[in-house]
Amino acid sequence: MSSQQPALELSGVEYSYRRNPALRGVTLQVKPGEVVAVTGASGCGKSTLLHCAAGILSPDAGTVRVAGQDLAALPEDQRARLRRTKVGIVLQFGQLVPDLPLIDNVALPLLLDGHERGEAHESALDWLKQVGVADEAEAVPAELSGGQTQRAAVARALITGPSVVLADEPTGSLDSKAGQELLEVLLRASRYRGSALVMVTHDNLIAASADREIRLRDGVIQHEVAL
Amino acid sequence: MTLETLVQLARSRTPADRSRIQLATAALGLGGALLLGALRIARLGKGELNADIYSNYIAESGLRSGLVAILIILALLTAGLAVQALRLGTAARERRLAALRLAGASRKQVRQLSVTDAAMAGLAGGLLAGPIYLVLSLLLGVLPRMAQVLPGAELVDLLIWVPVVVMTTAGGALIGGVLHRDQLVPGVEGPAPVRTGIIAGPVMIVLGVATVRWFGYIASTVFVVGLALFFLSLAPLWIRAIARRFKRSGDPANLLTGVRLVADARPASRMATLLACCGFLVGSLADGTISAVTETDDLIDRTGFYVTGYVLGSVGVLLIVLTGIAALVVGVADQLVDQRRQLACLTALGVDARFLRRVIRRQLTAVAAPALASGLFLGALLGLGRITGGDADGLEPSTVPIVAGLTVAGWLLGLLGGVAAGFLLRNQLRDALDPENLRAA
Repeated sequence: MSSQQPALELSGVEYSYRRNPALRGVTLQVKPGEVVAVTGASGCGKSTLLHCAAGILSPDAGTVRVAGQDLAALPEDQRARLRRTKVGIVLQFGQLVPDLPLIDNVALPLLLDGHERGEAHESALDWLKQVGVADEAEAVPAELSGGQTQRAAVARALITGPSVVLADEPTGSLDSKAGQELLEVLLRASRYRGSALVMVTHDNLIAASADREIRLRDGVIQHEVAL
Repeated sequence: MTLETLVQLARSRTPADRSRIQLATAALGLGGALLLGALRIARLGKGELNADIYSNYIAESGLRSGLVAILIILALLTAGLAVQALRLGTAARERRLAALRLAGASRKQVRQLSVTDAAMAGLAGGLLAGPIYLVLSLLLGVLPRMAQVLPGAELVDLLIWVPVVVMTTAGGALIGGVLHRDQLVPGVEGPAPVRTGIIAGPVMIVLGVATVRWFGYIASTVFVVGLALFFLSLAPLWIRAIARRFKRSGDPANLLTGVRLVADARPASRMATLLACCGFLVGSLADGTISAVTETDDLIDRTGFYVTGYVLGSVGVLLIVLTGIAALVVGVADQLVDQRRQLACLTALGVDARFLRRVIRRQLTAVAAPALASGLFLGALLGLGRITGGDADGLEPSTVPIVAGLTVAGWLLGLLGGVAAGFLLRNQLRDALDPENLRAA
């Protein structure tokens, strides 16, 4: 990827849930290493934007490029591989596999990519150390607090060294102290990897920690502010 | 993904998942044992055998092939149970698969996991099939000679066991592949299935009945397939129609029943199909036996023969019906766990466990009672003779009370199943309504 190439590029993206438009021609570029906060009222299309960027939803119109690759042009297998290797996703409730120990959850993208178990576990343990939950490596998500599972979700999102990390209300389920700690972990870890970070948030304090804030309203970008 | 990772990720870990796999393994094991029985009997060859050693059902070559066919049909019905068992815990599994997809698993990889999961159940079931067959043949060996329809195993049957293990493993993998759903965003329903069975089913039924005199078992097979297809296509529409009727009711219990039936329409309609098919088998067997007993000249000699056949057949099918109802109950219990948060919200509206028990009872009886009753009604009405081409005379007046009796019995059995389910699930219902669930994510 050239230094000039955006880590994430959305161009004229439209998406509707049945007949209700959620995104109406959103265009956005995120540079490598940049931190972008997407804000707006509930139902304005923030999460839909993130899901389109992650390739979870396919836009009705427009293009999404991750590390220069047009998602729509890729067959499903390659799109999944791109999501596994170039995109990290952190959702509000972690979305870890409930019956897998933390170490397996974090190692999952590497295991799915065909890495040997020992090698994947070694890397996962490194990341669990970085996010501060290495002691809980063998615990399953149900045995941990919300903050701990979110930290593991951050580790899972970053283990493959993605071009872009997409976080949907990453601190939404946490109290303010745990939220602040997680945000620091997320910012530090993505900067360490040089990954772009796009965070959907309602929290002004979290938005203030970004390089740029994008405010959505009724599926369109209302304004952009460099912070 | 390496093979180690595939097996590791496919392996069931939660208690609910383990019981799902155990149920599927048991069903596939029983199916495998029945298949083993069919192969064991088929191995005896085509000629007449000594009736002093074997049951008449095995000794007479014509009956032997019928027995093999019945064992295969029972094996397929138990495979239907495995399908239902593997579908349990859908919501929890879909959340798991969605989490895997978010971690970057491709559709192909998720499908591989579903297939491996079910194939492992099939493999375990196949390995269990041998011991199950041995136990069944020993149990039947204690009964009078006429009832000894599963001959004891010989050393050479170990060789037959191997392909059965392969078949159950492949069957499991096939079920896993067919059942696989890989919605990344849960809650978005796929397109409604085409209801070709509603037209094709009756056409095949009429075709089968009309041509059975000339084409024999081929026409019977067409008939049975048409009937299954018809039930399978009609059941979802029937369940939704009942649900709509309940939803229009002024009674809040009926309203909630309707809502839950709509939410649970797919598994409920599959189980309705299974119960209707079982009811059909029992009904047609009953009709066939009654006609044979009442019409045969050498009644005294043959009564034992027919009654044994009917009792064994009915016990087999009844076991499937009971296991089917049990699977339906487990499915509802699973649904209660999945919806515990929504149900706990009802506590705030003054809903208590007794009310919810009424809802569950109605939800189950609305599925089981009409399915069993209609299956028994059609089975008894059409009769074994008409299906196998032996007797296509008009409906005897004496048959009418039998048909009516069996239909009522089917309905009552369905109602009984609902009441029993309400009782068995009382603790789950109380747990589901616990206000603590409101805190559950």
